Amino acid sequence: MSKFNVVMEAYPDLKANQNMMQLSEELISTENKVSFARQAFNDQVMEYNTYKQSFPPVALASMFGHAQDASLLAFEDSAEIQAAPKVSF
Amino acid sequence: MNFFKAQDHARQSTTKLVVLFSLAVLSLIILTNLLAMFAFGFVNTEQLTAASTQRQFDWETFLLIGSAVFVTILFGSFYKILSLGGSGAKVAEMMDAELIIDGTKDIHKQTVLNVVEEMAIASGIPVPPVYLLHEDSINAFAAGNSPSNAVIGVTRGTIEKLSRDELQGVIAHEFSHILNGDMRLNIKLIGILHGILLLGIIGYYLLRFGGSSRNSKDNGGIVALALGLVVIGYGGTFFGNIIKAAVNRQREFLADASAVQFTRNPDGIAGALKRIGADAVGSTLQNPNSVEISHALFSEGIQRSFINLFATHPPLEKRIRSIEPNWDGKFEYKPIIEEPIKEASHSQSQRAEKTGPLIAGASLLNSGAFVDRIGQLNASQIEYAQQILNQLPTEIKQAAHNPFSVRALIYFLVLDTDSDMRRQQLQYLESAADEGVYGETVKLVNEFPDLSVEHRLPLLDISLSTLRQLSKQQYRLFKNNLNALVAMDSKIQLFEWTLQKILFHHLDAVFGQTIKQESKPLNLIQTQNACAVILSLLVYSGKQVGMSHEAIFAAAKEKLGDLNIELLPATEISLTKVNDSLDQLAKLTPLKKPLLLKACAKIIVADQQISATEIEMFRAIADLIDCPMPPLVV
Repeated sequence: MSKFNVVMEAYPDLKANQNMMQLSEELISTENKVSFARQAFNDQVMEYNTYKQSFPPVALASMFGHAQDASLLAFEDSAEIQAAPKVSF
Repeated sequence: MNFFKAQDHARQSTTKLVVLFSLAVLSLIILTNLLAMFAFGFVNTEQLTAASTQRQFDWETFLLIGSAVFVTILFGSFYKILSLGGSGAKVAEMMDAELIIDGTKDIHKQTVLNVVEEMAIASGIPVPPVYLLHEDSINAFAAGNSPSNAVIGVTRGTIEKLSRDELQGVIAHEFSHILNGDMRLNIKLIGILHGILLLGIIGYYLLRFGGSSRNSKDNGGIVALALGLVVIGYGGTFFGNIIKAAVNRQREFLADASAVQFTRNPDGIAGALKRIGADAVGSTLQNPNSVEISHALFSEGIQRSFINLFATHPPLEKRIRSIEPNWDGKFEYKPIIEEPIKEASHSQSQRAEKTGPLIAGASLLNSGAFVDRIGQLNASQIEYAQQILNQLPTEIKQAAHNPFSVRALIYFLVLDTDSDMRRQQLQYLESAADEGVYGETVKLVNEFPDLSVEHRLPLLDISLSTLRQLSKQQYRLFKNNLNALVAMDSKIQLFEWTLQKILFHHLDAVFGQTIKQESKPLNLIQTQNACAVILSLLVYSGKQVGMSHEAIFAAAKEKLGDLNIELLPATEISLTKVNDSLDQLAKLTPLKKPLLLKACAKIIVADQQISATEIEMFRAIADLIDCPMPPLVV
């Protein structure tokens, strides 16, 4: 997507074209939907885990089959995301 | 901004305020009770101090009156809740909003639909319908008491003035209203307040119509009761509204924090708030019904004085600061709309009115500007094209669109001006061409003796599309006839040559008569001989006044970089050579073609006089190397 944007920025007339605007709108929207879906899932997982720690669920949860915490969505490059970016001069 | 913490804080504040509200209602009920008892003389003021008042002050009466008041309030509340609640679509209709249909051509509307869908995914509720308010201000609302019958409304100003991120922030804010049940809460509060108001209304009517035909003791009592009810009712509503506004403000903070949670981008909603602050109309709605949904809007819909107890929204500055603590306090207006393709200036379109020969101003051509016109279109050129079309005689236009008579038209265009030659050509056609076509040609010859120069190439363009409809056999016959006609006078004129080249260049490809060679694009060095031929051709074809041929050629050669070419003597430029050169140049790499065309342009403008012939030649060359150039408009 970023390469697409870079190429599109180089042609201002093309960027202003109606069809091009609709296309880039579609692309942006699709990417956003995917990322928001992942975000929503992770938010719900967090809420679930937090709720299980509150009283009374903390005592009763395991009785009803909710012993384990839910896990967040994993990314392929989770390790890289966790690591701080290296800066060199 | 720690949005989870901010949300917790807002929720706790709301709970406190709601508790306060309930206490207020309770105390009102008690007050009303006391009032009622007092009014009907149950409690005499002298007897208050005496112990024997206990007899009158019994719980039964208290409870009776208490329940009467309670039921009144409840009745009023339910009535209001039922009228306000239900589907959000009703609210949208009340505001005269227009439903946005999916798949709309308007890019702004489609964007807002996409954003709403994204936010629905982010917040985990079904996608609500989106309504459009026809207002210039930046505002939005969410209506409906549950996620399943919720709607979102936005103003036209919102979808046009905000960037995509800011729009996302606004929509996320509205979604959090839906998700956190703010509408339901508000409707309950409004309902209860209406119930209290009902007490006041009862008191008001008692005041007006009660106490007419009763004995004096009760009369006084009823008036007192009525007065008391009015005070409690309207006073209660007044203070209740203040509390309700405070609750609203807390919910707005909660919604802002939730918006940041959904979008994970505080700049979006902060940017939207800043834009509202910077905008002239801000978020004020013109529709008078907006008072009813003032609590559901994104930002204040009514102009209020600076600090107002009844404000449903916190001040803009406070909201921005809670999201962006480091804000510098300035509302700057930043335009976000990109400039669309620039329209042709007014003076340029005025100049298009002239229909004289295509003589260009030297300044325009010296810059080679018209080479940049290749592949581009602007308003003045379209106007010029429309003019040309209007000037063409109707029969000729019709002939160009009919596959039958278009052949006649092309034959007509190549007929010689010399009448003897013309007769010869027509004789040939009589024998060789399709019968009807010959008749048509004769008709055209008789009706239209000549056609002006600038009409010929456009006519050719029109005819090309019609000629594609011929069958293979018809095309072969047509091609043979055309070649024969042109060769008949044993000298080829520029126009005839141009016409032949253009026609066959396009149509041969259509009818599969060329073997498409997927060859590697050539660069200028490899085609330098061809360039020399074409440039020389151009140099000799114009009546170069005041400059020698060599000088013009040298000037043009500059444009091509350093190629080792020289002006060819006129005798060496044969037709076959030109044809071959053009074929080769068509294989030039696309990035080098403009250079060649600029060199050609240099030749044309060198003598500061451009004739229609030169322009036609240039256009033909451009067309034959697959760089279509629009007609030159000055």
